[in-house]
Amino acid sequence: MFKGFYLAGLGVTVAKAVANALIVLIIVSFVISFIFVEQGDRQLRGYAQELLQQKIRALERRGVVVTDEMVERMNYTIYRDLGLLDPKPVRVLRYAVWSLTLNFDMFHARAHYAGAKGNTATDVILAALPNTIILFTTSTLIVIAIGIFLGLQAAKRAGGLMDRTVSTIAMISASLPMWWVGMLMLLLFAFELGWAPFASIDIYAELAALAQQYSGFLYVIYSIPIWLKYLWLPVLTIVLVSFGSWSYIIRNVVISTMNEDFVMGARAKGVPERSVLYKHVLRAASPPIVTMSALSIVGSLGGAIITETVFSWPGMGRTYWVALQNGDTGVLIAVTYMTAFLFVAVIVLLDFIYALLDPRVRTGTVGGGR
Amino acid sequence: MRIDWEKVRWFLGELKRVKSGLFGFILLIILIGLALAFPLLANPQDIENWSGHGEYWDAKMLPKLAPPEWVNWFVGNTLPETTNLTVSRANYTLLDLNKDEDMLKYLEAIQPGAAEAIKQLPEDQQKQLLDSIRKGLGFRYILYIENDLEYTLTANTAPDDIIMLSDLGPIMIKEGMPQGISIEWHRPDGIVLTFTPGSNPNMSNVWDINQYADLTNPDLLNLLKIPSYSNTTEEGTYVKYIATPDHWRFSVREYMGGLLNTGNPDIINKVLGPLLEAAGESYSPGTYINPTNFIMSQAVEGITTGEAPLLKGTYILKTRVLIRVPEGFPIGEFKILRAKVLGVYGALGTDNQGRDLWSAMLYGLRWALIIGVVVSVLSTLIGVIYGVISGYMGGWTDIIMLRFAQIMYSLPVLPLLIILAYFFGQSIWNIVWILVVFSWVGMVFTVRSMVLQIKENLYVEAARAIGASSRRIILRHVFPQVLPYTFASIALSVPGAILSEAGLSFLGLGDPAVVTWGKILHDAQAAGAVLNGAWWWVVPPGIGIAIVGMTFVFIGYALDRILNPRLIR
Repeated sequence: MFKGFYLAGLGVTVAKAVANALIVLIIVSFVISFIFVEQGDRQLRGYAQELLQQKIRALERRGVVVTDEMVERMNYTIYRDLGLLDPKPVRVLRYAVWSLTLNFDMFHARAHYAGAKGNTATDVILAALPNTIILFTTSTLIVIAIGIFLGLQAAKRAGGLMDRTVSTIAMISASLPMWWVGMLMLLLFAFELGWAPFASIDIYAELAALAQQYSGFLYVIYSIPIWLKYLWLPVLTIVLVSFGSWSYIIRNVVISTMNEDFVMGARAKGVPERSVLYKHVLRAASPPIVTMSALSIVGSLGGAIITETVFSWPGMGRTYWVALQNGDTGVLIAVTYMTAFLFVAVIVLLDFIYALLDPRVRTGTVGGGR
Repeated sequence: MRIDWEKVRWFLGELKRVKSGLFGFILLIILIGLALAFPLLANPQDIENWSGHGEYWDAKMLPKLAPPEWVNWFVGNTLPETTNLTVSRANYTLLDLNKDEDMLKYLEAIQPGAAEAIKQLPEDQQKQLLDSIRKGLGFRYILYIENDLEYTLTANTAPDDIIMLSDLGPIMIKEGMPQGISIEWHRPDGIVLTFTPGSNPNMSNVWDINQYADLTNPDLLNLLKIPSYSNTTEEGTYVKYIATPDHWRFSVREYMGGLLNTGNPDIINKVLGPLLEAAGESYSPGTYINPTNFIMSQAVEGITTGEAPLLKGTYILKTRVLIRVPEGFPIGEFKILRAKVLGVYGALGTDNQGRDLWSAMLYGLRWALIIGVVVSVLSTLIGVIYGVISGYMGGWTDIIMLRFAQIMYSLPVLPLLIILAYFFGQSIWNIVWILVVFSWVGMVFTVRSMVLQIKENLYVEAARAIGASSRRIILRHVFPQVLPYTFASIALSVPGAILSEAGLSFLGLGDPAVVTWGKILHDAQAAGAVLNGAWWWVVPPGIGIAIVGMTFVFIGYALDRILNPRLIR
């Protein structure tokens, strides 16, 4: 009897979350498509003109006399291929549907993207996404480790020296632009000391050179130092800027957990303080920490646009930047939507996990704002 | 609204106890003062002419990519300062060869004893001789001008550049009538270099045209970047001439760059030769020489590589012209308008276009404050009103409003922000509105849950029972409770707004006409400031952003502690 109730509650919660996510995704896809169709129209027409001139020149070079009729026909094909023949609402709908179905093959990349195997938006994203994940997962893991350690130390003696230091660092780093710190790091470590490369995009050239020498297992082994060489400075930057606020948040979570009765109970039982802190408190405080980590990694997938640009790290952020510079509408739509999609998907996933774990969520007594 | 002085006094008393808040308020007052005093502390014209007015900055003749002056405090007297050079006119002589007296002077100058010999002749023969000489000359006036620029090098590195802005006046170009120019670099060790290949560095007779380089030579004009023109006069005669309507800018650095680029060893050697010979070195074409370092180094081994020590002392940049003016052609004059030695500059240095970064930094403060405050006040107000209405009304209104807010909250902000700024960001106010659209929603959930609690209070119920309208209850009972939280939120959301605007501007999506800190950093990134090690271009805007952000964070935390005492743990 209870089991049925449990599943029903879970089902309702998950259904709500998925419905919410779908609404968000539909709105996002339409907003993005609308903006691009409405504002990108002139750009696209300019591009069509450019394509036409290219084709005419190519024909003339082969000695073909280009007639008005041929121009008309070529123009028609170009307009059809770019989807310019249809009225705007149809185009908005089409872009939105392509995005919603993750059908990024339909979007063509115009600019050149490092590492992309083909020229569809799918290829571009497939090349960029792993790099971003590598960079930000590495940094987030380091930040979490530092954050948990410092946060616990600060929480142990609230108001103490450690606590005040952590709070101050949090306040300062909250006002620092990460990309600016990146520029400073490049000035110091790349320009002044020469310990790091200026542009991480060169990693492709080095890896390609390595691939010609080795393959298989050896390639993987030898590529590790190359990755480290290009990764360490961006990672250091991200860690430096984010560890303060992370420690502060973890401190707050831990302090509020420490006031709970079970901690008092554990202490009363005579559990050593160290064990209370690391086993009991940390375990109870871990769900919000996991949420934050997941959201932070997902948020960074598209959110580190500027930082990646500064280091020319060939991830989603830089791709976004290159697409912006080249007015590459298709890639922009795909990357923006992909970012939104991952963001929303992780939120749904977290909701689902919580619903499984937390009886209060399960029965729907906790709802509303986050 | 009436100001309750009692409450203000209480607030100030509390503020004294929260040290960081007091610090924040003091900082804020200083920042506002600096923003208001911008016209006094910096040059507003710099900002008006910041982008797209190269001529304004050319006229200012500031060094490019120059570190700030105070760098010398830390590294000793290492870098030379940007200084104006005063022109000391050494000589100006105009001879009208139609006058016998001037003619004799000229002849005497080019051939000593000639005047004496001519004077010995009988009067009519004298006249005949002078007339026949005149006919052969083809010009009526001869003009000799010599200008000296003195510079004393005391610093431990050579200045970045030496620039001379001058007006050369019209000079006629005619076959068989060379015009003389000689730009000499007199060093403290007695070695003289000439920047005009072909002129004699150790000039013995200033009236002898053969000791000068020929200004009518197109190659020389090219090298010195002096424009020439041709014109047909009313009488139908074709005239070719040199003129510098926009002034002639002679930069030692640019000149040397152009000289080495010619790749012509003959010409290069004519300029560098004397110094290379003294140092016992030779120049192999294609190698880079730091121009100012080279001409101010001791004549010892390593002078081409910059390894030779600097030669301190007084240098003279001497310019001479010997201009011949035919009948009917205007008599020009070679005037040096300004001259500068470029080194460290100003409070914050300059960027790669020679723009004074101090003006931009101070002006950027204004926009940082405006953007931060406008965005945070507007978005907080919208969020609070939205949250109060949603929470107080309840029912379907609440459900729909809450759902809408949740959707807004789930949007990936930065990519959308960038796309919107990409299309609508040409005006700074558009960016402000876009930021407001994306930042109000964070407030809603907290305010709504606060209102849900307040709504249940007995006094609200009582008010409702005696027939108070919803408007009255919201304004009299709900808002005053939410307000303290609002103040803290306004202050705490300022840094985010400033960071967002800076990020957008950094990506080049900001208002191109408005100088903000983000735009300065964008220019720095675009110009490769990091690759050039131009830290003075990169560091200040970020520190500015951080200081303004921290000011508001301090204030926000203090307000939170004073006005929401229940939240203190």
